[in-house]
Amino acid sequence: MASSRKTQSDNETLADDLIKAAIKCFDRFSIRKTTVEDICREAKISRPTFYKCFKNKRELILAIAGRETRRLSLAMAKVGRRHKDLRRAFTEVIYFTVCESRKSSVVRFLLNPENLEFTLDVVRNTEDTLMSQHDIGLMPYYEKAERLQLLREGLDVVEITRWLQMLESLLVIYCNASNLNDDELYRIIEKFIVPAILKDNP
Amino acid sequence: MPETKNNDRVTQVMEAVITCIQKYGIQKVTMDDVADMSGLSRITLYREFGNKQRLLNGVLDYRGQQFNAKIKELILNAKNLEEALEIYFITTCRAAVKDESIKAMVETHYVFQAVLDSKESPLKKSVCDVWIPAIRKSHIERYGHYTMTREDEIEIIDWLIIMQANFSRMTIEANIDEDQIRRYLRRFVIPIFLQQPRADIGSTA
Repeated sequence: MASSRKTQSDNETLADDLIKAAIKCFDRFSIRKTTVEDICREAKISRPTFYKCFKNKRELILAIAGRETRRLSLAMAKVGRRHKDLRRAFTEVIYFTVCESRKSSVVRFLLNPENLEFTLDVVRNTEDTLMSQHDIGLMPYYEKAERLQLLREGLDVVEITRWLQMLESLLVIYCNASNLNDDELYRIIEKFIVPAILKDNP
Repeated sequence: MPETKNNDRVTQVMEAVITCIQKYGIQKVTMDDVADMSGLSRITLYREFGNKQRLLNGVLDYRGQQFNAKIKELILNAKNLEEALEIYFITTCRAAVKDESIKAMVETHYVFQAVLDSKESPLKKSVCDVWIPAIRKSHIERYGHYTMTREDEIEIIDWLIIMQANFSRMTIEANIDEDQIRRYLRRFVIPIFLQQPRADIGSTA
């Protein structure tokens, strides 16, 4: 029992090391050009050990994306709680997500034009896990909006989530490519994104 | 008239840039390539078009204006603003997939820099010319009056361009099909253009 727990945590440390090494590699080269060997060399771990933790590069990327989404989602859930007004809460949460994602080196390399196609391909084929993690962040607000009947007609939560996830990545790219400042970003969200989801407060 | 001669030359250079992008890729294409392809001397090219960045902006404007001119008829014949916007976005996606030079700009996210950062972009102007009157007309029919300020108008046009790039990107990079794009448009994008700006958001902080 004790020993199995030890292996478990050993594996987690290994996975951690590999993830850190992979992020370094992906920052330096594109995802496509980085090999499992590169990652092992960076982490000072042998290839067989790598394959004990992850089936392949794809699975490793998914683990990285999943971790980052989870981290952001938990933080998101906290941010909106400060605001009573639902419209405001949605705006703040989306704004926060975009700002945090911009700061995240993981998101940066995942959304880099060189990597984007690869990322989208990986994420698309495993949407459900990442989606549900993303949901954690906004779920309380969706529930409240449904209860108060403030969601616009014909919308369902799954589709909103999918749409917002896409928009958030778009906004990260857009902020990085243009000179958009924080105030302008906030206004875009407030004016053009949230009103498409929520009805006017009576 | 020097004017037409100049226009011919612009066309000649723009077509050369487009061919070069298709041949070498947007990152690798150089001013020399464009000079060779267009038959102009390097000196003339630099003198009249500045640098690669300006040439690429030029291509985006050039293609954009061609596209807007072509699509104007379709938009004027649409039943209402909803239908016109849907036609516009869908047609843009199709064009972006087919046109290698636009595709390259969407893929490298170049399109954001070019159109949204420059206030003088002719492409943006041609988008304004088509859509601001259409939005005004629709609001007046719907609400009996029009409350958008100049600032609101510019912001909504920027949003339209961002969305246009967004759907092109979704089509090219994520292979999202047209039906799904229509659903997103109807649910999350078009309604915004039919709403009057909210008084409590309109003012700049």
